Amino acid sequence: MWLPDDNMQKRELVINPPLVNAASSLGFYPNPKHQNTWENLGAFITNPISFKARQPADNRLFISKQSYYLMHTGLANPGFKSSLKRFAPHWAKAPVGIIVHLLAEDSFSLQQMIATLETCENVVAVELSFSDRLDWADIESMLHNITSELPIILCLTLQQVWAYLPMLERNTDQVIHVGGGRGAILDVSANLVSGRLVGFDQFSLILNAVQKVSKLGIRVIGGGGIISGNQVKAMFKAGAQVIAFDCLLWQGGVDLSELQVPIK
Amino acid sequence: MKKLSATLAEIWQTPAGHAGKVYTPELKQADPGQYFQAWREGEQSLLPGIVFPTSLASNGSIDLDQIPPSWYPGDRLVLWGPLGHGFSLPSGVNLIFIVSSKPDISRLKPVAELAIAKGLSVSLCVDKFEPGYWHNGLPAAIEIQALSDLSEGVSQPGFFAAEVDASNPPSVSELVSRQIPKILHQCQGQVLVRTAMPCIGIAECGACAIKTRKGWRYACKDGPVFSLEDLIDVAA
Repeated sequence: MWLPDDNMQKRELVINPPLVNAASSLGFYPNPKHQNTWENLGAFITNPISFKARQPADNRLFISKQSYYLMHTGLANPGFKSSLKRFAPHWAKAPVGIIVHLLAEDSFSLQQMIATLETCENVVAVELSFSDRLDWADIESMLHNITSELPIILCLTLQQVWAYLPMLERNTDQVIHVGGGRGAILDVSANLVSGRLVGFDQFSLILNAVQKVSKLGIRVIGGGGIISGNQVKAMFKAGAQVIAFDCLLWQGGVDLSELQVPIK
Repeated sequence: MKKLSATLAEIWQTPAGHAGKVYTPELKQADPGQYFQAWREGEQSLLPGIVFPTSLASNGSIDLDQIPPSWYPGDRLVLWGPLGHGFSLPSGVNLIFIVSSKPDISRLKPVAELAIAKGLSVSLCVDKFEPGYWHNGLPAAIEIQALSDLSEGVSQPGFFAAEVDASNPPSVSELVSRQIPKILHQCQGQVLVRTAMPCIGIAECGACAIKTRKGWRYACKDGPVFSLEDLIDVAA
């Protein structure tokens, strides 16, 4: 097990229907103005929240081509304490369970955030993402040093999944969100900027990774540029138990029922 | 808000790409500077495109800029919007300046049309005169002058509308300071900040974050038109 097995009662994570939004796709809480985007989800994943506040990156960038887009934003957020103050009231009254996405930087701040979230109404799980700068030993150490009543989802990029696969094989009692890849591109000043990469070519790579991870017996949330019912079917076939949507939710008036996905 | 059905009636080439006229009887009006998400019916793409009106809506039709080259007259489209906050002409002004350091003023043209419809005087201030596209289709009532000719104080209560392309560095505040002559700062002004807006105000994704005097704002939902005073002299 990832976390110390000390007879702690861990809450069960149930996502029904098996649909979520990816972090950074719907904001920090389910906004009633955009109800059509989240009303059919089984749980709502927040934008990434870090312990300290983050500003938009100076070199923020969004490049979009027909078959892919790459974005680097700096993951701006008000920081954990301010986020809690602003968003926890919305989480409490949301008609869908909330999964708070945290940027995991060190075990001390991570434990503080998780301990606080355990007391928040309607928060059903925590999703963690890790900087590319951390290696598996850092991540493993971080996870060994925290305890949580809330289920923990590890959100890994494609590159992280392949790099950490041997380690994942040793610990299959967890939930992994295979979230897509990272890429790099030259900006107009000829600087190389890396960011989240979403594209049609990426999807087949994600399917491959989901299949590999799910065959280990690990529960998988799969997503990354899903825009069609066929892609949803393929992701379930690859072994994902839950589907994560991202850019599809940015299409005005989106209706997930058109994808013939299992909805409420 | 609801999806608007539209038909692409006409397309034409511009220096910036393709533009077109769409017929969409359900659209009542869009403020200049507001934007739409637009896609072809039945087409699947990662992200629908963003288009800006280049005319006021009239008789069920509206002109849009930068439509994809793959669209043809007769295509059935879907529009989502209008989105964001557009230009709003304040009361009590007699003179509208349209300010542009670039030849393409298409997104500011509806401001001029609105002003003329209200009986206001409109002056187009450009960096330099260039033949060709930029002056095509401008109402004849518009006076055209060089930005450099604005050397004296503006005698009438005025308002200016400008546009900056913030998709690349430097900061919006620097762009505005460079492109809007100080002589116009005595007027009320609004600036259309063009930048990528992938999430159209749904996600706070941060791609369109703009630093203003009031802090960070998102062009997709707080703009894309901002008041001048919010954008000038913003601390780094």
